[in-house]
Amino acid sequence: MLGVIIKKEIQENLYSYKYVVIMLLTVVLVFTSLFVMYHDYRQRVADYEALLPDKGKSSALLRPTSLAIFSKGMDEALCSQYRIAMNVGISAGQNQHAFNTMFRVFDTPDLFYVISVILSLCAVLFSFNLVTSEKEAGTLRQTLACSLERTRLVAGKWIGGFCCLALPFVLSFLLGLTLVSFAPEVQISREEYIKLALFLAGSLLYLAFFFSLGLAASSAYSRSSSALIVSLSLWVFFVFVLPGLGSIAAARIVNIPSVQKFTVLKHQVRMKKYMNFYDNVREKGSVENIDLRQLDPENEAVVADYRGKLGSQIALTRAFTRASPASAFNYLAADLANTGILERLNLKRAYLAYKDIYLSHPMDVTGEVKGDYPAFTYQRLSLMEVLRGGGLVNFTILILQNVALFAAVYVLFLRYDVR
Amino acid sequence: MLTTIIFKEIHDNILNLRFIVGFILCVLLTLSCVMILTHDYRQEVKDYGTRISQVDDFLGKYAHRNRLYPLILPQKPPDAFRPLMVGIPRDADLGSFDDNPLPAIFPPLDLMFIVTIIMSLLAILFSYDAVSGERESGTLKLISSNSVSRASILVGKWVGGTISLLIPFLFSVLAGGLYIAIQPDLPWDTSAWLSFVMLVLASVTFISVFYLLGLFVSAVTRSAAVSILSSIFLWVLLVLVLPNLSPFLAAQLKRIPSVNKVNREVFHLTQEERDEVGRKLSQQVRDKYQKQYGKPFEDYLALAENEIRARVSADPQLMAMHESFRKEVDQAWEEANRIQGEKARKIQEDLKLKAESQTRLARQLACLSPYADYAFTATDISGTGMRSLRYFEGITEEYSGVLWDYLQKKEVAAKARDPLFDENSFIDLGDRPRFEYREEPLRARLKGVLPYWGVLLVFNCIFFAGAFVAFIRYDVR
Repeated sequence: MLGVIIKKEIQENLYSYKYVVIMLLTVVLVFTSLFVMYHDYRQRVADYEALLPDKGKSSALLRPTSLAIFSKGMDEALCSQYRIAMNVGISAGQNQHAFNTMFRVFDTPDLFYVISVILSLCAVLFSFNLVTSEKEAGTLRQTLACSLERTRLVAGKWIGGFCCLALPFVLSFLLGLTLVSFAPEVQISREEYIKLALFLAGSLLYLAFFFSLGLAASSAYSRSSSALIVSLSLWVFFVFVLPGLGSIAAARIVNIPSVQKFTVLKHQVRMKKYMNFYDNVREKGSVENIDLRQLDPENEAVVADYRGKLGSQIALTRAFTRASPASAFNYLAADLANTGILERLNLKRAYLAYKDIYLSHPMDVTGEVKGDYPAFTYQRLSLMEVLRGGGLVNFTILILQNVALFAAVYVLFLRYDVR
Repeated sequence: MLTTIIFKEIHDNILNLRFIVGFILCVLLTLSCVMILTHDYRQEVKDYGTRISQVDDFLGKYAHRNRLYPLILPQKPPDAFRPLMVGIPRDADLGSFDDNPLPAIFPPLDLMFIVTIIMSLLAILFSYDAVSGERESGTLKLISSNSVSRASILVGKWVGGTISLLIPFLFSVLAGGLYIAIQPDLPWDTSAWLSFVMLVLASVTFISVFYLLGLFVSAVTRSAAVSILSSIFLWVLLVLVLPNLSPFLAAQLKRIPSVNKVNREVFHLTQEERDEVGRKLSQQVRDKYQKQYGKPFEDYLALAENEIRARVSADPQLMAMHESFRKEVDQAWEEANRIQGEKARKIQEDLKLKAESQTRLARQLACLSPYADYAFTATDISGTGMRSLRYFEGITEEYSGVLWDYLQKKEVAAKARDPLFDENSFIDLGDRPRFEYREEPLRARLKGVLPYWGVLLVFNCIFFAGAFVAFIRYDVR
């Protein structure tokens, strides 16, 4: 019987206007996003290659990852050129987007954004009237007049409806991935394919949550218009409001100075060190016996204190905002694509470690490191590291949220008045 | 009759679940956003004050000519509208090694979010069944059978629907405004309150666009289910897709050279190549002096700096040669700097022009979306947008000029007092001209946003005209 219900749901959906609109939107957006982000990636790779001759000379540079085509995250900042100098510490170079101010105004339309905001809305729109429309048409009463369990009916509706929603997305994702992987600049390793498979699985879990949300609203109200209003309000709450509130709460608990204030502080530390150094040089008459490494501002307490607090705020924000599936999916997608906070923290640690190695080499009187020293090398986080660093937790949270919501749908449907 | 329709529309809407949900959502979100952002604003003001006094203290002890920048440059104080609008986030794009990534991940909850996401969706929810819903329930047929024109029905629906939609919005915005007004440490002057009124008017224009969009779609479809899907499909395109695609499309259509490549070329021109040109030009000066003075010049070149000082003071002829030679060598290096600086300036200018052209195209593409038009209008009126940043850059440049003149005078005076004064010596900057930030006048800001506001009005006209034509031809059966 379950098979019959699923088949009926799929058939009904396939012939509906709703399906046509959502399928078109999904296909067009997935391809547009991949096309746009592929061109952005290509430009960034060209920029990286142009900078390559500088690599190794007291600067560190990271190649853009192909996975950024799917979820760009912070890859623009990760792939900035970072220079290391004895008296300045680590400073970042300009990035291409800084020159077009419009990039600062709007969001990045990568696949993550499309799924997180637009397809989640489509999922809600797909399911908000699955129960109410049948009740309004009177078919729900007729169906349940037969010897059919409500459990089977709701399961059939869920499976049939979700298959219709997921099918165009999965197909366009796979087709898009195939096309992208043929591009000469794109290098996707076997492990990265597994990451993309997990990205797809995470996306389906995320969409399933919003599909269940619409179904829950449909099972809680007798009219489609009421179910629509409630499900859209809940969509806004889960996608925009809850992550925002979580980050605000974390910022209240771990208060850190603004970046501007920290920049002023760090600059002052540098200047004080420089002035003391200069006085020292004047006293001794030369820099021969003075350790120039004392000018390095990165090891100061004020810098370490700021970094510690920023790390705590990020950890707390991650913990709080995971209550929202949008944030859990955000962390999962960006970390799997090696463009998220996890990668950023790891890269920062690598830069600081490299700076110490670089400054431990002999330097001349001007503070320029001389002789051979190793170039900066960095390996982005492996799949296991991503999963251990929070990926598994995010997956589990998405699964639990789905289970909880489906249970709510089930209970609501069992209590539903079909008359 | 029109009034009856308007009242009927308002009455119907107010009793509907969407009004209650919209009202609660709007009031709760607006008030909590204003409270949270007011707290953030206070923090930022405190932070700004600390930064300024830290810089003052520091310069009081460590100011020396060689290392003043960037500490001495002005900093932008928190925007007065920060309790309502976050505007263009600055932290997220600093690009420093220690920047905070969180603001970039979590879009701010502010008036912009409430208007562009909540109110625009609510507007569609209020209007999607205005025509098609009434047709389905049969009431449209009944109304049309009376002696009432279709134009009156449509206008009545529009006015009534918009009024009922604006009740929760205006109530919550006014409550937010009241909260700001009773805060003793939020010094909003008349200009700020006028900007607030303009901001509310711009928001009403934007919300009306989406109400009319829903009405238009409702008038071209036969069922409410189709109408809601089509309306939300258009909402997604206009609010979520088009503006976000615009900078990326512009970047493809009008490419700019690689910024890093340009920076490296500029570095090469102004450092390595400049040194070569400088050496070549100063060699020419040497050759000239070699020809003119012969052996004595050769001997002079072989001397160490302290020997030159000793010999020059004793020999007036050598002194004349020394001074004229040094002057010409300095001029040669100045010329090298000028030539190479000119080359670098051309490359940078080219990049700047191309980047401006790309930004302009991105802006024009984005203007096809009411979301972007509203974002530009609202952030510019409230002084939290790109215009405000550009204005700040402009006055910073002016201030830098004043500061530069001041430093030059200070340096001349210090050198006159102490011959050993150099760029690593301390200068007392206690009497330096202080930077005072004054916001751009409201009139200029309004003039700047008129094109975007105008586009919003055009959207209103297009959707109203579309709804009107569709409703005139609508089969009410």
